[in-house]
Amino acid sequence: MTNTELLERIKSKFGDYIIEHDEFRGELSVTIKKEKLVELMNFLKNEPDMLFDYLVLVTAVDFPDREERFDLVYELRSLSYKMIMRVKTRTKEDEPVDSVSGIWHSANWDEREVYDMFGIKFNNHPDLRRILMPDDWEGHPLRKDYPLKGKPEDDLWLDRHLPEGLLKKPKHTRMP
Amino acid sequence: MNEAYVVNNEREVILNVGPQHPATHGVLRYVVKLDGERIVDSDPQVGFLHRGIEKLAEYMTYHQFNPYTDRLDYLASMNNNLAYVMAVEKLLGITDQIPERAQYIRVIMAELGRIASHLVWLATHALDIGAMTVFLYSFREREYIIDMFEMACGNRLTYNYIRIGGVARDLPDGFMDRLKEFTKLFYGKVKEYHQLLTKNRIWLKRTKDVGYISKEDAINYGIAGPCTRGSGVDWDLRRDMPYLVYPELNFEIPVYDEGDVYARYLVRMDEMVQSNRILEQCIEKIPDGPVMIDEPRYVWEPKERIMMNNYALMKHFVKVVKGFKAPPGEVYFGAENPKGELGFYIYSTGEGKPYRLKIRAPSFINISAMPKMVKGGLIADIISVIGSLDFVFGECDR
Amino acid sequence: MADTVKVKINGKEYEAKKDETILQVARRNGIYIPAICYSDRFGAIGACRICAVEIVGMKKPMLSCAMKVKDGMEILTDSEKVIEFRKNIVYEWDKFHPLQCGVCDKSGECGLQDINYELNITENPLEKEADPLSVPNRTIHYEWKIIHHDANLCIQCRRCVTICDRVVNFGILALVKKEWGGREIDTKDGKPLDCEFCGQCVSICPTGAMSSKLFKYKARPWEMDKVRTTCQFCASGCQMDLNVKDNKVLRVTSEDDTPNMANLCNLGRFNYSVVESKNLINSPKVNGSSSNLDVAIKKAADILKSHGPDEIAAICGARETVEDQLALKLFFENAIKTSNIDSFASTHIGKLFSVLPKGVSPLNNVSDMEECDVIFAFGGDVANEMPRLDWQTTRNVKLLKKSKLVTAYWRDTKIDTLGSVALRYEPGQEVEFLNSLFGSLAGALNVSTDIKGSIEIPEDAVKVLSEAKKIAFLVGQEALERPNGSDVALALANLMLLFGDKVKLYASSKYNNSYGAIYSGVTNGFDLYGKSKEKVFSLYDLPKLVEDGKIRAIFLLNADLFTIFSDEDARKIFDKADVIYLDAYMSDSVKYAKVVIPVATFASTDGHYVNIEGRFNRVRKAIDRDVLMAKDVVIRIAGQYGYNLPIGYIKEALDKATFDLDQDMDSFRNVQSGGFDFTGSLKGVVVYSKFRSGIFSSFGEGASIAMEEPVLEINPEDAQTLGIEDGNYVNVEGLSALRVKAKIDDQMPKGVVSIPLWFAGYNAYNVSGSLTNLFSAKLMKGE
Repeated sequence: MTNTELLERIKSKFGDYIIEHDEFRGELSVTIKKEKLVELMNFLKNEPDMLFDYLVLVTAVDFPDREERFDLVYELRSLSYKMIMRVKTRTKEDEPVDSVSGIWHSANWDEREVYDMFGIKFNNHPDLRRILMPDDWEGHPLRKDYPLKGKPEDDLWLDRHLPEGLLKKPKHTRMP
Repeated sequence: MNEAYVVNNEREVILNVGPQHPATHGVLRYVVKLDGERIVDSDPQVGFLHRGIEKLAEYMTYHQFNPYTDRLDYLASMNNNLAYVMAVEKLLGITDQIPERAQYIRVIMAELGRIASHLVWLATHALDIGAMTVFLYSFREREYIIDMFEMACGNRLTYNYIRIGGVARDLPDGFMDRLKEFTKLFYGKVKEYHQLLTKNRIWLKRTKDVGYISKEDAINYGIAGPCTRGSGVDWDLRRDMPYLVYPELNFEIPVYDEGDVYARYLVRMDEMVQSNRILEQCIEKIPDGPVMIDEPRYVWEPKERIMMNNYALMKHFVKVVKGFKAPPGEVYFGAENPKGELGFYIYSTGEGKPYRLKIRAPSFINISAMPKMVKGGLIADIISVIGSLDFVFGECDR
Repeated sequence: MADTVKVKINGKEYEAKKDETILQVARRNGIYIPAICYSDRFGAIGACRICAVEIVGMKKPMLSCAMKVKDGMEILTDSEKVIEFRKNIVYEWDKFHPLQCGVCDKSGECGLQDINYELNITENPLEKEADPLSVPNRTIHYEWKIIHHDANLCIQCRRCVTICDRVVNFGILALVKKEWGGREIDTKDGKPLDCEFCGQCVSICPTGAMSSKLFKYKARPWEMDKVRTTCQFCASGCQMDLNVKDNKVLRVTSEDDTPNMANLCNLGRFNYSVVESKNLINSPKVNGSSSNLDVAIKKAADILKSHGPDEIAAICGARETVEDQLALKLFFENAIKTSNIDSFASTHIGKLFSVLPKGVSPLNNVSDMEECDVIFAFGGDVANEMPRLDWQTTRNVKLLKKSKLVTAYWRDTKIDTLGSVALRYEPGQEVEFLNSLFGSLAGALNVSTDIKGSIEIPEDAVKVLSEAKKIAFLVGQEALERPNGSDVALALANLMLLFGDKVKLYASSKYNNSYGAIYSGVTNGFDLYGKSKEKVFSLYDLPKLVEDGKIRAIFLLNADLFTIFSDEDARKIFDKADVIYLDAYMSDSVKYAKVVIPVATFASTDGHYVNIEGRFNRVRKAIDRDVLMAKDVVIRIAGQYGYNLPIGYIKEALDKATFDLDQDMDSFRNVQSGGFDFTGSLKGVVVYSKFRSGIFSSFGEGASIAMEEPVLEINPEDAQTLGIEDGNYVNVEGLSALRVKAKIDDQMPKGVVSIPLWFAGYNAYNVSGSLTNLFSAKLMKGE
């Protein structure tokens, strides 16, 4: 199935909820409103001539100037038909998104990483907690307003977890 | 609250296979809930080697990020370089302009990296289960490969050799002869490893019917690479979504249906032989020619031009300081790494630095499938499964 | 909407206003057209021709920076003809450009590098024409001060010439014909550069031809971090970026999106070296000997505890942040319970803002001056006091040709070169002049009043002012600091009330946070947010109060008493009273104060300054020093005193961010036109210099290179009578004597001499007396 046919099939069922679509370097990406996300994912997985059974990655991109700040990206692949596709959705800072970990298990850890790094919460996720940063860390590092060299408050985390005088604490310089 | 942390009755015990452990291949904290010796539930905790590479990528130009990709899976650095460079080339749209000699050199380096990585896997997997001799044998071959890498680019472990637009420099004299010698003797070495392990009773007892995962679960959990091929999924990016010159080479993809640790062991052993086949074909087919494209907008020009012409010097400054202007858009490219599928997702807004770079690491996904694989097994099976999944924390935690 | 037209660019349609240029329309919609010699600061020149675009229907490519849009135009910005045209221009530039990218300072932010990269120049067919022996190497001007000019790197885009002429209004650069046959940028008369040294030409040059000697070879542009902060040398509040590397400030730049349009003056651009540690107070001092912070704070608290509330006074220097001033106000009003607080703002704008008439808008955006059709500059040299007003006036009168200029001062100044209606009076006669002007204008506007004066006002000035629709009043600091300054303020208020809401007031101030001092309520007569209050304690009474023993302890916050008092008066205050002195910079006060505590400079502090527009500009921390901010020192002293300063109040007061000024005056008041009794033949005036703002600015490299020592300006006839020649040293005597160099200036009126303020080592107030700027002068030729 070519990209145009794929787009037509999706538009025929979900036409009103599609915000935009694009094709770049042979890859099709469709942006859909987040209310219909799980429905679209189920459709793409179960439809007999699409069968997108492999979820490659889940990630997010941060646009701090936009009102709907985060862009969630899902990359799909069909092993039987050798097709690829990208589904995107948008969300605001404090609004949760439905989780797709019920459809593909590989989304479980990827969504935990998105929560850890960006602060986006997922509904119906079996176990939403931080994965790469320590459990009691405050702040979401991959957001654009989080400075590269860390915030001075991070020194307090080290104070809580290291015994006094054991390790030389890093002094925070001014960050870009 | 994850089930692994909740004790339901007095028979259940929570055990911490801590971050410092000789058999966890890195810093993995694995919390296991035991009922006697049987595993009821478990929860892997990662993140001890998190270095913030994705955040650093937003402050660097595309050329500057190349050495960081070496440090992801530090046992097969060439393959990481390759995945990143091909993703950037896809973004720029110059994939079909890479000269052929550069493509063959890239394939040679990738396959040598695959063999090197599998040798380490064999050594440590067998060592954890108890066979020490295999460790010494396979590291002997690995030294041969690393010497070849040092001839080509000067480094033993992290190479930064594969660059955007080709490779850094041409192969030195004598490299091809060394490679021929290696390919001739490697078949015999693989037979030696088979003699040590494949029909060994202890090995069979430790690895057969351990860590089972079915075909549907393997696809659903997102595992790729030798781990799924051990469960019957016939998928390999080199054949199904080909890149470089793989369509012109003959090789087979080993697939076994059993889905346990033994099957994955056999898959990897066969892969090493197939990589050797690819290397033999490359030695014969490699043409002469340039090793880097001549596109002054993206790639450094030869030093003679830069030092003699003022316009070349000016362009060089802009490329180094601000980075080349990549077209706006987003791409994803996945390459077949020895550990699985390493993918790079780049979102570019037209500047010299990527706006968002996401690394899809195979080890991250593979570890998430561990609780399913070890459930119902014994504690000692954890070690076998860890060895068979073959993860590296450089790429898991980034 | 009758004057919107539709144009097509690269196939897509866009809307545009009728007199916009193609370049402006393209930039507004995100279409990229390269342009080297165009800048928003001065409009189009048409010298580089890189911005050429192809218009369907015309044979040659046309310049998009100058061509205005017409309805139905079809424009192609990237066609082959256009790219070929642009490449030919770049080939010409590259022909002679030396291979210096590796050692040139501009490398990394160079316009020529960028245009070569974008057009992807891979060969230069004109290289064969360039025979290095046929063209001699062009001049490199090593002898100019502060600015370095290398004519080999110049691409002759004429940006420097245009900005010096149309924005700064000094006009000293030009393209001059040279002996080798071609043209180079040089000064108009060929002498070494002697100008305002504002550095605008350096900031706008696209290549490395114009560069700054103070920054040469220090760092590469990509190594430095940029921190956006506010300038601390006058109340314009220009936004600038401190370029920091390794915890040192290496240079100052400004971007195009700032309210001051990337313009900076000499003080702002070249004087970042004031924050180097050799110019700062390094350790706290108690009784003249070094000590540590805790001991100094304890001693300060002890001094404050040992005197009654009526014997303690606090003075703010109007150079600290609003947060520091609020902390001081809270401490002194709630804990010590004294209302003896004043600031340096009460020498000038404090007097004017306590008599604001109804209807006048006191805090206006400087760019709103473009709505005014008459600009009335009174009582001060605008270019020396606040350069931002000078640039805006130049923009109104010269560039946009929107306004007429009326100047009222005792001599010709820089803005008079724009062409103005000049009203002149003698120094000291401000009130008489204002009353006379009031009388004539009241007659023209048919307002009945009996205020009038004796100076004759020319008819054309009255006509221009009375027919104005909106007037911008630029009030100089010098006039308000006269001995009868409050009367001057009242007379000015009368004049403003005559026009009512047609007036936009711009009262200039050389202190960067004097408006903040009014907002925080630390100025005599003002409470929080600028509300009027009864006048209790004034800075002018301080010497007498100390001498009579009524004030025994003084708390100085960034207030170097030697900037407003003569040496003698200041020393008497330090001898008789216990002085607690908080400042960053080394000064004479440090030697005499009892307790000295160093605080952070503007580069190491975080807070807000309020500028002439009433805007709360953010000051950000750029370099790290081991010194507390002034606010924190006040909080610690208060803590030692026993008062827990409520920090939440400071934040609350800052969040409001709007003034609550009382504008009560609604009827004309009678003002006595007193003057100053000059004895002797020469009148002496103390003026402000363009190169000094506060005594600590003498530490700045740019200011001290531009003008090392003060000069006394004198009329040629007076000089001849006294036998003085240009450059001789003279002794000028008023209350005491000062030895300065003389300069003959034929714009000085006969019988008047002027000496500038705030040059370190030459306290002009010794000659005139504290807080006055008029004196009877006696000149004698020195040796």
